[in-house]
Amino acid sequence: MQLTIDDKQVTAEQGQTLLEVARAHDIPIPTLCYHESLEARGSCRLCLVEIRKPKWPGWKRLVASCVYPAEEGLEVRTATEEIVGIRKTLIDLLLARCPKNPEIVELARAYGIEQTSYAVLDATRQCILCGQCVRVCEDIIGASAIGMYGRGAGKKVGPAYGKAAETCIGCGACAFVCPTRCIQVIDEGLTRRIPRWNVEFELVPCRICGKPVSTRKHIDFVRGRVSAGPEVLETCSDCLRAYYGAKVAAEGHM
Amino acid sequence: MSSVHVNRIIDRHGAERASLIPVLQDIQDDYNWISEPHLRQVADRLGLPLSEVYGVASFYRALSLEPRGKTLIRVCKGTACHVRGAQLIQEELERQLGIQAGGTTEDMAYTLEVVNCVGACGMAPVVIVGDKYFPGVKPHRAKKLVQTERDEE
Amino acid sequence: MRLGSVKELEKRRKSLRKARDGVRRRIIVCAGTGCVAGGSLDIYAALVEQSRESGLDVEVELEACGGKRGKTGPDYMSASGCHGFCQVGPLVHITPDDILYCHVKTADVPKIVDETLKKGKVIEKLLYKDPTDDERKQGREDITFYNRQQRVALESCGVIDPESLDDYLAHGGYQALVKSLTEMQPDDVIDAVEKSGLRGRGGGGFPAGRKWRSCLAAPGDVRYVICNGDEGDPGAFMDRSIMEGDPFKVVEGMTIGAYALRSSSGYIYVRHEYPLAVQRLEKAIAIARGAGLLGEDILGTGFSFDIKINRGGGAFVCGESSALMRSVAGYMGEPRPKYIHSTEKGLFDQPTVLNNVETWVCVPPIIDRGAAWFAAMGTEKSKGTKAFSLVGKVNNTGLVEVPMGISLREIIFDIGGGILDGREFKAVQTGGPSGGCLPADRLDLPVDFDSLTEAGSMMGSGGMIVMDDRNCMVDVADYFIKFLIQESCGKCVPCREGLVQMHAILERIIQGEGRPDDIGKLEHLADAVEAASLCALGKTAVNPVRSTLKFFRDEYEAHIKDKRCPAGVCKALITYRINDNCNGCTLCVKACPVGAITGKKKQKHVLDTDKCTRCGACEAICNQNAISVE
Repeated sequence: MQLTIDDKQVTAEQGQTLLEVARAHDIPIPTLCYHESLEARGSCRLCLVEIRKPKWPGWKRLVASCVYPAEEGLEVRTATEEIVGIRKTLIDLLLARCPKNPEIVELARAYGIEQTSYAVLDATRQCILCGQCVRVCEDIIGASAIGMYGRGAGKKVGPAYGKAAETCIGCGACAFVCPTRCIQVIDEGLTRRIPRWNVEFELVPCRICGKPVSTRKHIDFVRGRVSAGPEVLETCSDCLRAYYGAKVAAEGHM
Repeated sequence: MSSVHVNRIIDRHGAERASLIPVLQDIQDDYNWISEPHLRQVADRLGLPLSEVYGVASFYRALSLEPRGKTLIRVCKGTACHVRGAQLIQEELERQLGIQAGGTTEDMAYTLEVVNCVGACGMAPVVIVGDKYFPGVKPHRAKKLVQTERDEE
Repeated sequence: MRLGSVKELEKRRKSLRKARDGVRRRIIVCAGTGCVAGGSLDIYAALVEQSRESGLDVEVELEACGGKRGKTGPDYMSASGCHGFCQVGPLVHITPDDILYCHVKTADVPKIVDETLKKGKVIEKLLYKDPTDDERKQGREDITFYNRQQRVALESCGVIDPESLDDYLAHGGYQALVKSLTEMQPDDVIDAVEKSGLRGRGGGGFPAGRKWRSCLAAPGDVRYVICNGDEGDPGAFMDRSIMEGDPFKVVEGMTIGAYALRSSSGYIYVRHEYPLAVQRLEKAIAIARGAGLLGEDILGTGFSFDIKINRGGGAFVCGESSALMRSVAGYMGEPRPKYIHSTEKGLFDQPTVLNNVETWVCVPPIIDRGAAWFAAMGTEKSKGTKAFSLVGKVNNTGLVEVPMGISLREIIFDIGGGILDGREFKAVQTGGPSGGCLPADRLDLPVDFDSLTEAGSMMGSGGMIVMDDRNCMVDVADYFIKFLIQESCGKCVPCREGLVQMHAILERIIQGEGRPDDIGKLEHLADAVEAASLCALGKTAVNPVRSTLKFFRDEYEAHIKDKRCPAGVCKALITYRINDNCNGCTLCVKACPVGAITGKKKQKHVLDTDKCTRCGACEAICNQNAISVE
């Protein structure tokens, strides 16, 4: 189907969201709660765009492009004065929430905000409640070790009762997707800690170089799902690459 | 140790996702709160992650993850009650009970809660002690309300 | 008793009507939440017992009223749902004499039995005293609160026994379902609803017929009907009263809807705070099922439909349709973006029609009396009548139902009898947290969906909260923002973070620390929250602030510039004093919780402003008007 984004004619497939179409055509739209591997949540609202339909003259609406499906003939604008103004206010609000988070501070600067216009209620906060960590843990990893709790201004993210979750495997996927980098995964010797979730794990050393591969729980978790032995699972990525690289060089195939 | 009673509640509603909230409500009704072992039992029986069940339980105000007092005192703060002085009633009750709204007295006798309209707007401001409604409460009567309740014990 | 066919139902109705017509008097004791709180159930029990003891022929079941009696039938005594006039409850209504007794106490029962029931005399002191002329008025026909109303949704509420299918049938209950099943095709039902012009009474005002039609057009074999009884707007209790007072009509309306939509499964989502509504609906559903009016093969027509009740969890956001459906399915009540219509993908991802209680109970009369009858009431774009809960600083508080298009003034000053204690009208708040406050110069506004929206408020579900000069508009705006902060699901940034910041600004204005640019900041935030929020809760959350800024800007400015709260509400900006009206009664001395008032009997008391916490206890207890607030 055909639609326009910022007056540029673009092609989209059925089922694609406006954000996907825009990104496929190198049209930038800022996001914080979006990740291409996760189901879109539409909660940070930074990806708001304006839509108009030729069949309804004079009608327009602001929608979250990460969840709004592409439609034939739609006219999309991604950076009108109104939208940029709203984005700025949203970022300003997030800065008031997390005034010391480097990622948010940097984003705010990009929008010309040095200091928030709003009241800082707790300067230590780092999390913007985008829910990416929860979705990756539930939908991709399948561990559901953390969740969203409470509601409204009191909403929080973490394990139930704030206690270490038995289902957490310490894979660190949550930290990987976190847009504010506020989930720390600390590896020291053969111990991994994720203080935010109150968990600690034993790390398995690479059977070749001795460098930690991942947590014992993570490896056991993967072992239950794929048919691979320790020669793969307990080998670090560098050694695996070296091993297969040498194999391909010698034999011409894997 | 799983609770027989909680199992019965789950059986009554069926061990499926859509039963989650009715099950938690029944546990709340019967125990006055939802304890961690009970919540875990529900998660196990319904085949849901604990984080998910905890999330749902913490979302709804009618469900309490902390023990509540024997008698629940609710101050209605719907708009009709608000414009007729519910704030002053709340403050008086807080003073009388020595707790903030949302809190429970040390002897576990009372929990004071503020609710957003109980739909008894014609008799504002309203205070509900247990399941008894007190209409048109005045600050000085709020004091009496607690005393009467205490005397009846 | 199972009614296996339409014929059996009509036969039953005929015999019940005969019984009803034979009744000498009907004595109806209000058992709405308000009157129950005032002890009406005890009053009812005492009335039955004492009148029987004194030899009166009294029945409590309609069925028992018929039979081989002589010309004078028995007195039929029953409890009912809310009569609407909660202000003067507990209420006892006697027909056909039309005697309405107000503020009845159990101690009044012997007199009612002796004087009224035995001798037919009216007890003057139990009659309603009109605050406008101080005269006693005998019945509903004489009381402006009632005689200016036009009741459709509330027609049987406060009249019939909500726990009696017999009474419902005698009042024409299930006539509409019979008509649908026997004389109409499902599409005819949708046509009728569409032609009636019925718009959803839950707030948005979406045309019900169009909603039904798009659900029917959506692909899928399974369809659901939902009744939204999660009446969350604070200050509104129409739906509560209907569920408690006329539960069979809710069930009948949904059954007709299910027939039109070819649905076999329905849900009623009732607020957690409404236990009596749950109880009455459960009972009505069980009775209807037993009578063959719900469940498999309804009235032997082959049509099957059943209803399940879900209790709400205490979350305002679940009044939002997509959040409600998530909640029924067992999830957190987080709304989803609205471009996926629930008529196509609603409950369990199936096509679903969701209407609120008041909308569903308009369906049976529309089918029974015809779309044209309904469409003849109201205005061009808002047909029919609308129920309101008229509350706050008004003389006659309670439930009222009026034709759309009537003015706010008529509701507040004619039906409502004006402002309490002769004070000055300041504002009326409609539409709950999504609505706004309208000032005196908007009193002649016609009350319909579009006029209210245009004026910056909203119809909402029908809460109408009247405020006088002692209500501070900044405080009211902050009240709603605080309410919404607690009730926001917290999913999207503008609603979750924006409302917190609006509250922070309002709070400092209230504390006397407002800054010159605060009004501008509030307006800027309001724009962003409205434009960017995910669901209707967030998008409309700013309305209370917007409307008060529009109509009562001077009050904000008084707080910010002059550090003054003109209404005498905001504690940081007011001082309590004892004036010369004080006669030294010592009531306030005892009432003051912090001992800030001293004084001897018959001497003017002294208030220590340093000790005073401005709790208002003295003002509330003083009957000499001796406490001034500055």
